[in-house]
Amino acid sequence: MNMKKICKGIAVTVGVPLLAFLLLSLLCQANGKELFRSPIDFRAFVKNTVVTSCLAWAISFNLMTGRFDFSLGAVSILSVIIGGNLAIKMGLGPVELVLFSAVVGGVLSLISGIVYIIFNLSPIIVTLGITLIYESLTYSINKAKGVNIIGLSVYSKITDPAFAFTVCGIILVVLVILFNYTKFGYNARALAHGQAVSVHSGIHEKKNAIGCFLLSGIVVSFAGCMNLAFDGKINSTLGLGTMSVIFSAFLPIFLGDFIGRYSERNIGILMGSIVTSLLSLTYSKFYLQLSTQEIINAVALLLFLVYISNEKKILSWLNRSRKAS
Amino acid sequence: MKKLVSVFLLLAMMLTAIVAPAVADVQKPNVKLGVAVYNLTDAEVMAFRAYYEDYLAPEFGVTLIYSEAIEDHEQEISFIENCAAQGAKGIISFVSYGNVDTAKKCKDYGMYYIIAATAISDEEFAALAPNEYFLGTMGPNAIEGEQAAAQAMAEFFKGQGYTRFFVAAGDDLAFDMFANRRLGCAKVVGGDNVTGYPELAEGVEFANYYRGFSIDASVKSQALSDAEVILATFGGVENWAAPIEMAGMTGKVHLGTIASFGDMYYTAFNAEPAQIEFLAGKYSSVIGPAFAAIYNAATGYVELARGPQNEAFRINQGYWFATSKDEFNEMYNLANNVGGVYAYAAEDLKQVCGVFNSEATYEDFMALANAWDYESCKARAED
Repeated sequence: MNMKKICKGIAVTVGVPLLAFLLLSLLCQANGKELFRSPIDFRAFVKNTVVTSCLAWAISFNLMTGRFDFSLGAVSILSVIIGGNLAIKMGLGPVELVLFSAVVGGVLSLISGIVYIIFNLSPIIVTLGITLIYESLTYSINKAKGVNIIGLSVYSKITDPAFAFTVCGIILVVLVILFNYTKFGYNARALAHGQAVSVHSGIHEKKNAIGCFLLSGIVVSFAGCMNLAFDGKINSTLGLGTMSVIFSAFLPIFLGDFIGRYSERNIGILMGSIVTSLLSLTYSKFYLQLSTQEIINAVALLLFLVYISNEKKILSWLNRSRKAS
Repeated sequence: MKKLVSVFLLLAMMLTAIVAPAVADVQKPNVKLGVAVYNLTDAEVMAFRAYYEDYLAPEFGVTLIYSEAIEDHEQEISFIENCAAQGAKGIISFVSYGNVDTAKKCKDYGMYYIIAATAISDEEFAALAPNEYFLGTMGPNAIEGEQAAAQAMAEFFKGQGYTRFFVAAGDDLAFDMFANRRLGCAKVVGGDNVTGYPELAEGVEFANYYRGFSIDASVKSQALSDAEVILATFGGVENWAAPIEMAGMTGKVHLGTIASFGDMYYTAFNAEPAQIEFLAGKYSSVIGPAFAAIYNAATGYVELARGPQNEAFRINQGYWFATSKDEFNEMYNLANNVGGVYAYAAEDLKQVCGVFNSEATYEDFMALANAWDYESCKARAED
C-alpha cells in the first residue's frame, strides 16, 4: 500500500466526522449555542455513538452477505433483561452485567442462526418469527417488568465515557482483526462479494452465517447495556416494537460502507455513528421535535444513497465541469 | 362445661352475625368481560391488570378476556368481535380510538361498554349518550383532572422559586389528555405558543415544551443543562431519574410528574436524596367502580349502572398528590394493598352490586365512585 493511499484513507476516515463536527459547531455558534457545552453533552454523545455503533456493526455482519436480521432489537432488549436481572440478583457489578448480557445475546442470536440454517427459510421470515418469540419472552420474564437499575448507582459506571469507549474500543479491535486477518473474515468478505462463486470454491456458507449471527448477538447486547445504564430501566416490548431501533442504524451503515472503501468497514461504521451522534446533539441544541429529526435524517440518508448510487456519474460530471472551467 | 361451651358458641354466632358484612353470600354468576388496553407492558396497565385479574375477578367469579396492545380502531373492533364470539357481556375500555363506533358495535352484539381511567370530550360524550349499552366514563376529566394536576405540579415548583422549566409534553397532538396536561403547565409557566400562552409567566426565565414519548439522550442532556425543573407529563421517574442521577444533577434538577403509585416511584421517593419531589398519581384500584358498573349491567342490574333517566354517567376521578416521602408512602400503602386493604376493596364494590346486595342503588354506586380522593379512600379502609 503506498503512502498516498494511506494518507487519503486516514484523511477520509477522520475527515468525514471532523467535517461534520466543524459544520455543526459553526451552525450552533451562528445561533449563539455551543455544540459541547457541558460534560453531560459529552456523555450523551458517547452513549449515542456507542449504541449506534454496536447496532450498526451487529446489523452489518449479516447485511453484507444479504441477510437482514430483524431480531437484533429484541436480542438487545432480552439479553440485557436476562443478563441485567442475573447480575442484580447476584449482587454483581457493571462488568459482570455486560458479560452476562453478552453471553445471553450471543446465545439468542446463535439460536436465530441455527433456526435459519435448519429451516432454510428467508432470513426476513425467520428473524421476524424469532423477534415475536423473543419479544414475548421479554414479557414473560420477571413478571413483564423488564430490568430496572434506578437507585443502583453502581451500574451507572457503564455510561462513564472511559468505560464505554474502552468496551467499544475492544469490540472494534476484535472486529477489525476478525474480519481482516482471520479465515472467518476472509470467508465473510468473499461471500459478500459473490455467494455462489464462494460456495463453489469451498467456503462453508452456513458455518459463516452461524458465526455472523453469534457475533451480532454479542455486539448488540452492549447497546442494550448502554441503554439500560443511561435510562435506568428497559421495559418489555411487544408487537414488533423492537424493530424500529434497527432503522436508526442505517445512516451509519451506509456512511461506514463509504468510509470503509478508504480504510476499514467497521472503523467506517464507528465514524458514521459519530456523525449521526453529532447530528443528534445538534438537534437537541435547538430542541427539534423527534418528527422533525426523523425527517432530516431520512432526507440525509436519501441524499447520501442518491450520491452513492450515482457516484461515478457525479464525479465524472464534476471532472468535466472542472476541465471546462 | 357443656353449657359454657354452648353459651360461648351462641355468643360467637351472634357476634359473627353482627359484624358480618351486609354483602350476601350468594352464588356468583359466571360472567365474561373484555378489557381493551393500549399496551400490555406499561406499568400502570400492569398494575390495573393485577388488581382486576388477581383480586377482583376471583372475588366476583368473572372471567376476563384481555386484549393485546390495541394501536388503532380496527384492532379495537376486532377485539370487540372476538369478545362477542367468546360470550362476553361487557367491555371495559382503556383505549380511545373511536368510542362512538366501538360502543355501537358493542350494542350490536348486546355487550355493555364503559370507558375507564380516561375522560372524553363533551362532543364525544354527547354522541355516545343515546346508546343504551354505553354506561359512562370514569377518569380524570380535562379541566379538574388533567389540567389541574399539571397546574398543581407546575405551581408546586414555581412556588419554591424555581425559574427554569422543561416540560416533557408527551404526544399532545394525538391525545387530549396530554394536550390538557401541557395546557396546565403552560398556564403556570407560560412560554408556549401551542396552547396560547406564548409569554413567559412572571418570574420564569426559561420554559421549553418537548413533544413525544421518546426523548433522545442528547435532548435530555440539553434539558438538564437548561432547566432547574423537569415537569414530566408522563413517566417522570422512568425517563428522567437515571439521567439526572448519572449527570450528577440530583438536587440541582428537580423532577415532578403525572404517573401512578407504582414500585418505581416508591424507590424514587425513598432514595437519599429523593429522585422525585412531586407526583400526581393514579392508583390501581381507582378502576374498581368501573368494574362494579359493568358487572351490574352484565348481571341484569343495569339500573344500578345507569342514571334514573337511564342516562350514562360521567365521573371525574382526579389524582392523588404526593409532595414528600412520608406523604407518598402513606398513599402508596393504600394504593398497593400493603396494609391488606385496597383503596377500592372488593367488599366496597360488592355493596353496590345487585348480585351481592339486593338493596344497592344507583346513588350508592355514584357515591362510592365519587369517593376516589385519598381522604375518602383512607376513611373507607379504616372502617
